Amino acid sequence: MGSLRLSNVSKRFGKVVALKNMSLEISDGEYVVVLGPTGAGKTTLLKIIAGLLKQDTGEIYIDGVKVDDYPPEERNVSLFFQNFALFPHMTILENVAFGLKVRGYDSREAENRALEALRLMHLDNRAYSYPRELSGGMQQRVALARTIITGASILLLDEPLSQLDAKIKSELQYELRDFVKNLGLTALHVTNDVEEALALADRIAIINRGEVVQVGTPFEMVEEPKDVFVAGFMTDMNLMEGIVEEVSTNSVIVDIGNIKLRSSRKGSFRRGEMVIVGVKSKDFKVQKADGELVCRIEDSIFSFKYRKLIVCFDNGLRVQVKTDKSGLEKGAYVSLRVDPNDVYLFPCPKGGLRAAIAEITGVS
Amino acid sequence: MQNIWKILRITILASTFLTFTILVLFPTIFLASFPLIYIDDIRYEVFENPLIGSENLRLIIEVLTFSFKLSASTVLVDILLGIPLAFILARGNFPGKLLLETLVTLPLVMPTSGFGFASLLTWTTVSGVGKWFGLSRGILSITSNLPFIDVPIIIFIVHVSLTLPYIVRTVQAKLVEVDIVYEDASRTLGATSLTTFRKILMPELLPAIFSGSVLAFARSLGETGATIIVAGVRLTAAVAVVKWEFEFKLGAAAFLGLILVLITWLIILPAELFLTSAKGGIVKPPSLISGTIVERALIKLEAKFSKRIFKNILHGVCVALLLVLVIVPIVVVVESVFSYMFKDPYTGKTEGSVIYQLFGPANYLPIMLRSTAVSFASAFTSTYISVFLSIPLVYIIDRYRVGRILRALLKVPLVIPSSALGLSVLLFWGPKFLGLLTPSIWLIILTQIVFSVPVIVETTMAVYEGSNIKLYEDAAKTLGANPYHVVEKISLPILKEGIITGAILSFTHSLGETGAAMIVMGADIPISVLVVNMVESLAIPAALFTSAYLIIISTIMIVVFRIVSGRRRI
Ligand SMILES: Nc1ncnc2c1ncn2[C@@H]1O[C@H](COP(=O)(O)OP(=O)(O)O)[C@@H](O)[C@H]1O
Ligand SMILES: [Mg+2]
Repeated sequence: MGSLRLSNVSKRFGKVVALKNMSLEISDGEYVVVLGPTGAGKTTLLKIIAGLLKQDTGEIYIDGVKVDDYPPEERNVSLFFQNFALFPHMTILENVAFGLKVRGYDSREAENRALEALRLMHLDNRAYSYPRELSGGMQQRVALARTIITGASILLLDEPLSQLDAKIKSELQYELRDFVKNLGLTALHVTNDVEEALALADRIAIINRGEVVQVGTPFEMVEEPKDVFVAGFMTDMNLMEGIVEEVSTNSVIVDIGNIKLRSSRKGSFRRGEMVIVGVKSKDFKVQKADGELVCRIEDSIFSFKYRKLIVCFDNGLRVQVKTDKSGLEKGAYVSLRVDPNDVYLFPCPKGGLRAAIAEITGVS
Repeated sequence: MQNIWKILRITILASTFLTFTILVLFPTIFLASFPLIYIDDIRYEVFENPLIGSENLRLIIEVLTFSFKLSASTVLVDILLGIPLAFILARGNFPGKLLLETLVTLPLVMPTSGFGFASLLTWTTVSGVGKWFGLSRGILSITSNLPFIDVPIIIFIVHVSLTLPYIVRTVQAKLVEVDIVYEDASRTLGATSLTTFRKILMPELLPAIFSGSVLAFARSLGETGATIIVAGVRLTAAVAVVKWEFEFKLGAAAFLGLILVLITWLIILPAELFLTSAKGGIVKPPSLISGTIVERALIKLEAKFSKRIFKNILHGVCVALLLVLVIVPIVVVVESVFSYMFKDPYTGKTEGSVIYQLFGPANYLPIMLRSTAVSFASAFTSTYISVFLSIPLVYIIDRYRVGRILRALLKVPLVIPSSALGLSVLLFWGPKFLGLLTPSIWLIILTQIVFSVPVIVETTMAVYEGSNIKLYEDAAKTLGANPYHVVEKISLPILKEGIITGAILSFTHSLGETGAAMIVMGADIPISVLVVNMVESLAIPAALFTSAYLIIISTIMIVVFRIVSGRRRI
């Protein structure tokens, strides 16, 4: 059992608003990933759920019970700390077995289970080392092992895979999800890595500046981003400022500095309105230069199974294009095509595109 | 150019080392020669006295036993009271925190004789707390003993107040350093707050508790100023050294002094070894009970008592006890000064008034002013000299191999009973050996230098080791700074905090020190000793006034220090 509900939770540190009226519902057995740039309030959120911080207003319910006055050890949650917090005076095994021992488990049984968790993390051979003798990535796996076996039914994971090498990371992702699903645990996993989120989540919640921006399945988040922030965060969309030139019943034509794009996606826009146009780099089709949407290839970067082109239009607009065509050399002229269904339109946020991008990259 | 700097450096370091050897090292080491110089006196007085046989030996054993019981029980209570207080100060965040912190530190900077008198007045006389409860006597008698161990309560509580800061400060400093994330992690892994304390914090805190206890024990063992006032007829070992020196039983005094020093060493040495061998400053306690049935029962028990209400009660009790032990005597003394101002409030006689004793025939005012001058002049001079000795010493300790030995030797003056130290200084400079000085303000200054240098070296060393000073110095050198610039622009500014802290501690320590001063002062009576003399000659109103005066001076000093140094803790 481990459902979780936050209702209008707010928290501020002096002048900084870390969480603002946050509401979120996670059902028993669900794997939810919270995505957001640095400083969005992710860690604060987990600490409040764990009972390490007290929210200013709002309530938290675990399994339908209001837990605001419960101490951390009685909340049935287990928190993975962003900076691990491995106890320096205990061996790896003792660290991992700690949560079971303090819950009254027999020491033999606690250690057996701890070893099992360590095996899952490929670290059973380091059981008798001390934390300081392990690399950052190893420490992270130990901390993860320690978090997942406490018997708590809700796992709160604060960037648990951030320090791992790409290989071991993708492997552990699946093992982690398997583990959680097999035991029927509930997970609230925080990260700023989109691929990780897509691989793990039943549902994704994007937060920014302490507020939930959008919640949905990975598919929804990628295909139906609600605004520029989500689009920019979840996908590699080319985002461009444009002006609505023509509105008809089922399509809109936007002018981006003399480049016209037609969009047939839903949304209500007025003529002359400033909008943000988004096109995923995979949705541009490259073909021979034919007079329409002509651009010059500025750079061509080879990657695993496709080529990434940086192309530049006459008006100076630059976009990224993914293609599997070969023979596209630097300096060559090509034409782009895009299906009107793949042209996203978003209302222009305050401060324009520049501010929105700064926010996405966490610079602001 | 290079050569000049080299010569300059060697000159400074060599002269420092020489001065240090003569002023600090010799008088300290000289203790060891007690039995040689006094071999005949000791045999005569202690072992084979024709009149009383080995009666003095019996006395020595008696005062030692008493001192041990006193110091051990003091440390025990210090630990029980000190750990919660350290927690409140390190982890708490409440409006009166700075005040509470100052209060804990106050006994460190207060002249102990003044505080001793205030406590005596408060707990054992009608002018004290007894009055508030409508009694016609104190709530304690000077002979009321603690059950089982036969230690007078009044001595005991004075010792607890005076030594508590050592535990609180060391544990608090460690707690501030320990990242709270470990406690958080433990709690979210399911451990209750008490289990977390036992399993997570204890291993980190043990060395701090241990070294704090050692300091507190040594301090209690050597405390003279307050003890001599509240002890009545009971003798602690440190007080006995002073008394016997006054009675010219030099052999017995020296013998007892030596034993005290040896005992202190026997406690300090293993402690030092134990602490330096602990990896990363963490002691791993043998986990005998980990995962056993005993532990499971313990965890259940801890869960029961981990309720917030118990924690609040514990904290409340500790803070209340601190207030009672420290604030009440101060209040009582200040209040009594007013009620004794013009007449004795009980007999109504004007002869028993503060005014009369200060300005009347006894004429204590000029005596007091002279003592104040002696105290401040000596404390200032010794601190000033000590600062200049200590800074190059820190370098010597860090850069040369003798450094480690020097540092270990420097612990001696910090922990041995000050009366034994005073005796040693007197013997070294005085007629028995060098014959250069007789007891006077000059000997007071020399004695104070002996215990001031270690204090300043330790605080400066702490900053030195905590900062990456060598890196910055090297960086400055590669940027083209000459050695003078390196010292002036890099080293001194970084070390400043440690030097200032050390200077203030040694100044207040010098001002309040009683035991050694009594032995070396001659006719130049410092203010801290004056209180003792007033009490012994039963000039109570004068003693009252002087104690209040001392307490107010030290309170002002600590407040000024807080303002000057921002929020830094001393
Ligand atoms: N203890 C604190 N005191 C003051 N500000 C804090 C504290 N913890 C977090 N903040 C602020 O709250 C905001 C959210 O922080 P955090 O939850 O750590 O973000 P994230 O984990 O998403 O990077 C940040 O602006 C941060 O500076
Ligand atoms: Mg964070």
